[in-house]
Amino acid sequence: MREILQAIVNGILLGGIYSLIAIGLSLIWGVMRIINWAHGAMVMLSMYITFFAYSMFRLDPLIALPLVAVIMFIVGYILQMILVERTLDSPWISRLCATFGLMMLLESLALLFWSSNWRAIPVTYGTWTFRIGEIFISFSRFIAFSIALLMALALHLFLNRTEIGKAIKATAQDREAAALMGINIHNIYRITFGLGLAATGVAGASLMTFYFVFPKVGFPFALTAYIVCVLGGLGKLNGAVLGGLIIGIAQSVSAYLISPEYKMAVSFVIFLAVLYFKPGGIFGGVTE
Amino acid sequence: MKNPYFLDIAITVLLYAFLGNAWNIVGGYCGQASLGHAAYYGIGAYISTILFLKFGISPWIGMILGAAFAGVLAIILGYPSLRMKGPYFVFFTIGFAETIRILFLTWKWVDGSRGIIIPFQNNPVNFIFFSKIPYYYIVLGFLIIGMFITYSISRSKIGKYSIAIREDETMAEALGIDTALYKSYAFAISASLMAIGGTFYAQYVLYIHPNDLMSLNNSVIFMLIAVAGGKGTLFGPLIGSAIIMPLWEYFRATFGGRFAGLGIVFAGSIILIIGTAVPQGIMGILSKIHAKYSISKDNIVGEEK
Repeated sequence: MREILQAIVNGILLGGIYSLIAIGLSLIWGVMRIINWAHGAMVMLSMYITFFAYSMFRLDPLIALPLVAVIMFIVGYILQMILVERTLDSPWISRLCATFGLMMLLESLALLFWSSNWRAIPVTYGTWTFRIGEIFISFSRFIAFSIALLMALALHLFLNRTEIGKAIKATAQDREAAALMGINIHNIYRITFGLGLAATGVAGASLMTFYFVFPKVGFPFALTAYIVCVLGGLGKLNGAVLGGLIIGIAQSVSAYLISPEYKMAVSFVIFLAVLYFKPGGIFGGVTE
Repeated sequence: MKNPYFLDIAITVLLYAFLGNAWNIVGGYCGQASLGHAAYYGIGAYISTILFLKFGISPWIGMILGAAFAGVLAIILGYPSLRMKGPYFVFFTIGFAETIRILFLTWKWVDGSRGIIIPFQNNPVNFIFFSKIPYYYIVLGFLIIGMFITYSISRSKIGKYSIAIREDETMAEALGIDTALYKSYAFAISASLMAIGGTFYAQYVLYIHPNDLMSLNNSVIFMLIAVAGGKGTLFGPLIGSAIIMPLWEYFRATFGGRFAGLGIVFAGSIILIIGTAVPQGIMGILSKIHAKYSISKDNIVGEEK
């Protein structure tokens, strides 16, 4: 019983990171109807930025975190400007090709320049744990989880309370009407893509406190994020948070009960079952 | 054609043209971008190999059984999955292929992550030949049959319905077409051809491994070949394969050791460029040139903007 409880707690802590990655994906889909297939590569990129911030300037991942988020925002803004924007009106296979090609390009460039070695940052708090009753909680995972929740809250407030946030929501609801109201939708798209990648930046930096980075590290995270998005409903941010926690728990508990090698298969089976019976996701997302 | 290296490249080109052609039936004609086709490719290879090694059934028969199995599986999975639209469908196909891959990787009875080595028993009945030349003619035959199937489909009711579905699904449904039914027919044919390609791969390489056959990378290559050549066209996959596979091989052979990953840099850039700049592929460019220099107005009618 204690082990199950421990697995559930670990799952929730991991789920926070999944939620954070999925939020970016969901936001981009909700506003632009584009699936960012390069999302995993973006997680990888932000992890490398965090790593190099440490190896060159001895910056702790948690201190580098805001910096990484800002860099990823700029990367997203520029990518949207020079690449994704061109495909907005193309058939959607072309849209898939654009970001999928970007993913392959980034992963292979990372392999070319930074080799396939696994790199980690030896943070001092890496091995700290504290216990609540019978349950042990890893300090760095707890911090990462808290950051993820704070980010989700901040994003929620940003979208609902600020001028730009409201403009983003308006564009998501009706592109033409938003443009007629004087909203510069192309600028909104760039900001949205930037925000989506900033979320991966935060996720990547917090991951570096307890995880390692290599060129293909992002793809499993992205796959999980797609599953999370489908569970929560594409385009729904609170759904992404809930879906992240569900998948986190499912992976962690199945790794304990069955075997860690089936952890990904279990999330896929949940995902396929949900899609099979509810083709629009549990909470019904935005499709067209 | 005596040089085995060039013969190998020719066989690769023809095999991937065959596979791209199979993808094209679903992806090009139906407009359903499947990224899970590698699963059927792997299933075909595994069924014929297991029947051959464990039950002594000739791979030729195993190939047909594998194709039938893949077709039935595609119908079972296809009917519900093809109601999904846009990204949900792609997610479903990726999820399906990855699940199958992980299952095969961990399945002890099929040797899991060790893969299966097919012992070299040189005999036409075993679908194993000493020279590469028979393989070349076999895959050429497969490609011709595959392209003929695509051609017949595109001329048949299924094909016309598929194109109607691709162009406007709601309209097609309003006209009384059972879109999910016709899409799953197309899916079944496509999956069967994939399985046949898988058996050929197994018999040619004589070693199969879940990661070699069922990885997402493979699904992407099938798509890349069809999209680069021109999706929804008969000769698109052949042109795509003829251009991409030799270049890929060149990058791998030249930069393989010191610059691992350069081949994928190249593939990624091609996909990216096609996605943003030439969504209609090479066949699209050719038909534009053709339309520009021909006087007949018929060519301009129906031309995509």
